[in-house]
Amino acid sequence: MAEHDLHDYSRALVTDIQALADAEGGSIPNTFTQHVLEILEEAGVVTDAALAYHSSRGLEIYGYGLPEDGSSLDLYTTDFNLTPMSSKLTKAESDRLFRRLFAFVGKHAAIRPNQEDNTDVHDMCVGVEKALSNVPKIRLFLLSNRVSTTSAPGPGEFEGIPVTHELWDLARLHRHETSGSIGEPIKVTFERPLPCLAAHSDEPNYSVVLAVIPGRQLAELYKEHRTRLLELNVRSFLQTRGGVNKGIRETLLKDPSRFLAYNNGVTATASDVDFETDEHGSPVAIRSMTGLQIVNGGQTTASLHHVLTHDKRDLDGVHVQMKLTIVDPAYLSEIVPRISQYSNTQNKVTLVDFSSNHEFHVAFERVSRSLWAPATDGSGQETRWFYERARGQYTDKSAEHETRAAQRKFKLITPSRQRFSKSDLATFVHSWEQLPYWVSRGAQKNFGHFMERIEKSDPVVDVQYCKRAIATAILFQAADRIARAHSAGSHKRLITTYTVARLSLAAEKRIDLDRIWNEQGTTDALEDALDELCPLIMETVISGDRHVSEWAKKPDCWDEVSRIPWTLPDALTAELTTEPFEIASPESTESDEAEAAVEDIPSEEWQALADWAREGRLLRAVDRQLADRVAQRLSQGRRVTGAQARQAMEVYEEALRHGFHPSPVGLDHETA
Amino acid sequence: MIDESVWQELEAHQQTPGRSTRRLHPDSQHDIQVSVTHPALRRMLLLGTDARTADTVRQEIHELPATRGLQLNLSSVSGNHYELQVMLTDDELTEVFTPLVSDIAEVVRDAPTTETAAEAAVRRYVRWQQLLRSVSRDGLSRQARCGLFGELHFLLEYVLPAVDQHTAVSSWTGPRQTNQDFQLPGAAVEVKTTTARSPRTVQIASERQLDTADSTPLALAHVVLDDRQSGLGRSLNALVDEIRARLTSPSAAQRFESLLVQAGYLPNQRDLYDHDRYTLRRSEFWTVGEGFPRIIEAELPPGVGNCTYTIDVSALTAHSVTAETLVDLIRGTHG
Repeated sequence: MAEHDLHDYSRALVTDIQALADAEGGSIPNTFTQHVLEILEEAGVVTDAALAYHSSRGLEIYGYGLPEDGSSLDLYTTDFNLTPMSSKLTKAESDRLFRRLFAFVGKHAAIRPNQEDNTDVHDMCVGVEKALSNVPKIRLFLLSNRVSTTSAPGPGEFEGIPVTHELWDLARLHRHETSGSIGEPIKVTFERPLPCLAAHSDEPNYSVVLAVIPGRQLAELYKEHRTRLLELNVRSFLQTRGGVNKGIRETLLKDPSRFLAYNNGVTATASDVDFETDEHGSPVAIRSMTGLQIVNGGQTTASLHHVLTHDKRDLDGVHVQMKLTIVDPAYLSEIVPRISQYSNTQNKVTLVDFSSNHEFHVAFERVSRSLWAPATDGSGQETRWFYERARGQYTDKSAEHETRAAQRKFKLITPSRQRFSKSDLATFVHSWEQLPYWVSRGAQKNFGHFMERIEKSDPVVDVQYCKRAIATAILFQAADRIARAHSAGSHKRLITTYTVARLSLAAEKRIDLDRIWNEQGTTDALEDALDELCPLIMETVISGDRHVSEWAKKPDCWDEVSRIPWTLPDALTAELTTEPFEIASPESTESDEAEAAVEDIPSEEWQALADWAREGRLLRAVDRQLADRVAQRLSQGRRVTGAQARQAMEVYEEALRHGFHPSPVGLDHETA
Repeated sequence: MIDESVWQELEAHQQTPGRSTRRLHPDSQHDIQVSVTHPALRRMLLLGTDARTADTVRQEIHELPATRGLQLNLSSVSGNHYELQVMLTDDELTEVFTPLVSDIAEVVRDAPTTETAAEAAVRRYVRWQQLLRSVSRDGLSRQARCGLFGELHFLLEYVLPAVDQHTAVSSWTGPRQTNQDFQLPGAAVEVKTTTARSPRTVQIASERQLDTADSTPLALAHVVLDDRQSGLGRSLNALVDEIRARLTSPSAAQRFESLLVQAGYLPNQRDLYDHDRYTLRRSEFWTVGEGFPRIIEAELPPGVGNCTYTIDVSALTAHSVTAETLVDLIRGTHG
């Protein structure tokens, strides 16, 4: 991505945000908040973020995030300025904004009763209330499109919970957008050099040492960097939560000194290591490591962290063996996947390249930008759809045009409403492919799954493929407009993806995508069908007592939606094609791992879990029912498969977090 | 208009936690509701609005000072729907809250757009804040008391006998900070009250006060009072009670109460107004017309504004009218 200076970036940002807000009839600062959160979500800094605005005297909040893994409670506030370069965000201002945001933590209980049930703010109060009872930390984010003159305030606390401040100002956003990587490489310095054993290597590009690292240190590293520590860890990307392994946890709680004996340890890579050497120049201890990544042993790391923060154990006497490979960054992509693959004994991991350089994106960009979309507004002006393979491409491209006239022309040919990103594409295609619960899990997770599927199906990215993929975008946008007209409100995105998925199901994917491309729009019959379907979807997805965004992530929700009694109107049936359109349908990618894990737990234990949750009024009703179902199936000797198995394991871990004590189990073996 | 019974109905409305609401001015294009939360029984005025409007009033709300007992919040409901919440947070202001809510709702009702509605609501809220601050502890200032007495005296003696109750009460616009204190269908009247021994001048507060740009006849009334601590005269409370007794129509009575609050005469501060007694020394009336010595907006050089000035009463002899003529003006039967 080319460097364009901060001024251009800031101007483009304001223009973009205004255009987006206009198109949606949305609030400008809210649109900005949403935009930044998407960037941060893609970067793995935040997850599961939702918008909800509330302000009163001395208090203002724009949204909140409750990461699924319970690792923190995140609160967001925003400072958006239409002329961002005319002033700087001063220390006094940012302190005040943080203070007003923090006020919400103390006042949420008083705000809640004044809100109508199930409004954005009401849900936020409920979520925050729940989170405060068990989160290890609170993170306050200030998002600003001005340049800040200061760094974020130091840590504080709320009733014993540590509170940290994160300031994302214009400069930091710009750095992130232009470098494409978030933050600096992780650097670890050992106060007392860590003794190590080096294996001699003849290869110039890498060398390997063995060491034993204190468990507490590893847990703290994870606490500080979270998923960034696992960026190269294939599995962590596929299942973004660093799951807590119950066996590992058990050992840590009951038998910490044997941990080294029972656990396989972690495999790490670093780009640079500073050694203490003996008189022969051989490494004997590690002073510091730069660019540290745990490529295998994510569960071990996450479980250590869990025991340290949730179970409040100090991990004294816990040691973890570490195999550290020093790899020249240029060879990372070659070596790391193999380390991961070979050190995973149980089942082969397909390595998915999540970067923008994956051949699929390169091909999609090349082909899609060669297409001219037919002119449909009578102006005769053909246009292009702009696939943003990497962030900021559109802005860059537009900035390449020297004169204003040339820029105007670029915007005319490539209107910003026809620009879409990698994660947008994944959203459009997955809605069509009837995976709305994946779309509902957020941009990052959905995109990860999309890439897995691409990896498996390996589609031929040709003109026809791109046209049809863009047709799904047009369909999605039409559904989105209709959902807005039905006041789907803050759940619009969920409603849209479910509406498209349900339509695709009813039509057996035989909606004429080629026609949508040729007309660059949807037919009246199609619009009417969406219009009829949308309220039915809303009834099922937004139902009174559930937390909507959580419910939408569950396959059960899709089950229920697919059972809505609805058939295509005749007018639309008449327009269907004879053959279905498949955009990217590999065979099932359900991991067998969760299935195996579910079966490792006896059915009695599942039943005990369900009963325990009911007595203590813990977990959500849907989760308790799932535990019941799993117990029942296992006792009948039937299998629990796919998404349901994964879901079940999440419920199981959730129960552990709430203090459910399973019956004792024997030794465990950690693999990845 | 709303009164205590509306709140009580909402309070009795439900047993489950949540909000019970009632829409006000269903004929208005704006979504205005009064609401009570359960079980806390917190009273609120709610105004539904959209995201873009929320953007326009956001900053203003931030800069509002604190008022004990009142709160103004902005909250997102879902998507692009927002809600302005005016909330009563202290029982002490309960009686004030009802007229406050009616007033804000009334101003919002006829606003042409969502944006002007929200802005008007915030503006009115600020007005109420100022009012409550100004009478915070010791009630109205000495000057404000005497001004209020003068206006009420004029209402009782000249307006109520001349027109029906509704028209009379509605015509009293002083508390709403309009240019003149009384705006009747046929005429406007500005009432000046003084306790000076032998007043030579009247104080005019702005170039608009004596401006008859809209061609409605305009009169100036001068009420000269004698004020004593616990003398033989009439207290402000006595005068208020007398007017109350005259108002037989419930809606006129309610409107009058609301106007009293807007004038800063708060129910919970009644005791403060028992001691001061006023006796009327004399009243004078003039009609403002051709040749009347005054400053009007149209004649000001560009850039000049906010004029306060005094007029020597001796210069007004030619414009003097009798009480009968004044009542004719008020009736609209003059000329």
